[in-house]
Amino acid sequence: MNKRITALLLLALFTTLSGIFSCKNDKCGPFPNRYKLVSMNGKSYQVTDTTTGNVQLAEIDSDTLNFDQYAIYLRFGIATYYAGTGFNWLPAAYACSPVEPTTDETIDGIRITSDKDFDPAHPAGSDLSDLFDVIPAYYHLSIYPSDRYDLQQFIATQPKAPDELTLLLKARPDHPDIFSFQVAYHQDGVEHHSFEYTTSPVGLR
Amino acid sequence: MKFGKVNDPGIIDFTLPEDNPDTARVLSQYRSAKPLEVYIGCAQWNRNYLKGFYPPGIKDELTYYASRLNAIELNATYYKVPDIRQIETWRAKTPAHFRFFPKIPEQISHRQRLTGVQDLVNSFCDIISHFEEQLGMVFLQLNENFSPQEWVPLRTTLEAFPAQIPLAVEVRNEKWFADPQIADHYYTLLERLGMTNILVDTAGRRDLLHMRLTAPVAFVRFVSTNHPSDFERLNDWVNRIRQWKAQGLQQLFLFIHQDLEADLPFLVTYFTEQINTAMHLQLPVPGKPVVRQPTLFD
Repeated sequence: MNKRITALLLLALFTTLSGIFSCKNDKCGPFPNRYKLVSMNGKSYQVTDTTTGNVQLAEIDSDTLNFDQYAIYLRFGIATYYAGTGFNWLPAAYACSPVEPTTDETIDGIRITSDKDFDPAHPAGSDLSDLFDVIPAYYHLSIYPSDRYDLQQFIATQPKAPDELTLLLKARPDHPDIFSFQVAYHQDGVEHHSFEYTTSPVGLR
Repeated sequence: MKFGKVNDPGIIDFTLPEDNPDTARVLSQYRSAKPLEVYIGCAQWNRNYLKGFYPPGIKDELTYYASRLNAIELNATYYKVPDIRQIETWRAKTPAHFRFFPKIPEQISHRQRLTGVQDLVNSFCDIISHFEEQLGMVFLQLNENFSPQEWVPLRTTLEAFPAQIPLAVEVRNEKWFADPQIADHYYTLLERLGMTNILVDTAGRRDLLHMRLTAPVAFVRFVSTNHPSDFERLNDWVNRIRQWKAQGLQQLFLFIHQDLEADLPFLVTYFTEQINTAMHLQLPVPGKPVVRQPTLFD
């Protein structure tokens, strides 16, 4: 009887300690670090204010925008899971010490194309990523949308997969027209490796 | 409420901060001649908490409480989700004008930290909807260590929150308020969703007085310090509410918390009388115990 109780206590102790020491990086759940990108949604916005350093976005309220008023906002859907908090005598599913949800996924590339010729160097279907800046947001890393980077230079740094990206057009089309853009996002992901989003047609000058 | 407690409230500057400039902009969209709706209450109704409030011989505390005040901050739902029969019992004991302000369960806010909680939120809202017209506003209070790093689960939860259930939100981590950019991001989300930004007036965390309304609603959680300054603090609130009403405020929900609950009814009575006078309202004054004036402490 005593041996059985001792064995049960040792088993419980082992289970508890393994829960404490094996979860520094959360590998106990269905995927690492409790966080992965699973989708991408987008919307076109009108840039209303860039004077303060914080780009303000609003619903598009006119048929035609100046090129520097146009922004493509991308929001990434994540999958995460509840990893349990605090001490559990018998650990629940995925019971690890709480870790900050994060991800090791990285952006491989972003290709932006338009349905019409943008300028002589950028015919329809060619990559326009050199014509865009980007404001990334990594909320889980306390990086709120603020700093603006050249999109290609940003991608060259092999950045981590973001929570949001705001793409800002920085060049005028050769002549005013109505454009629709397709954004193809590629990442070194846990499960998903690419997402696509096509904007609604918008008049640009 | 122990949160924000200090050893010597006498050294705290309790002056209410100036409004965030966006408060006037938000309120201006709601300006009307309608009288201000005011709900005032405590955080519990039980006899041990409201010492001195119940006359001898009172059998049912909630019935008596609801005959004197018109709202309760329903913290019981934080610990246990009530069943429908319980809600019907509470409703039966209270008049139609009485409002309940249930707190989101800890399983959602503190244990799962808004991760994977959609089913729990929907289930809670289904139950809470049985308060019907007596539902004041649900409120979500997040752990002090719930920081802006957890923006995505916060945004996801709020965006998916059932639109028919009014919601107020209280974040406590100081990083939400220390960086104006993060604060503005948070306030903008609440404003876009029509949700209420809770104001906590407590001695040890003056940063929670953001004075940024995101809807035409002021939801104030006032933590008394059992110090004479409590009355002056309440006077300041009356003045600020009067200013906000002129700008467009439509509803005031004010809940008074205290460490020494024996004095709690005095403050509720005092505030009710002051807001009645200032706003030409006729809210029922809790009555006994007798109102104490600030001069008694001077």
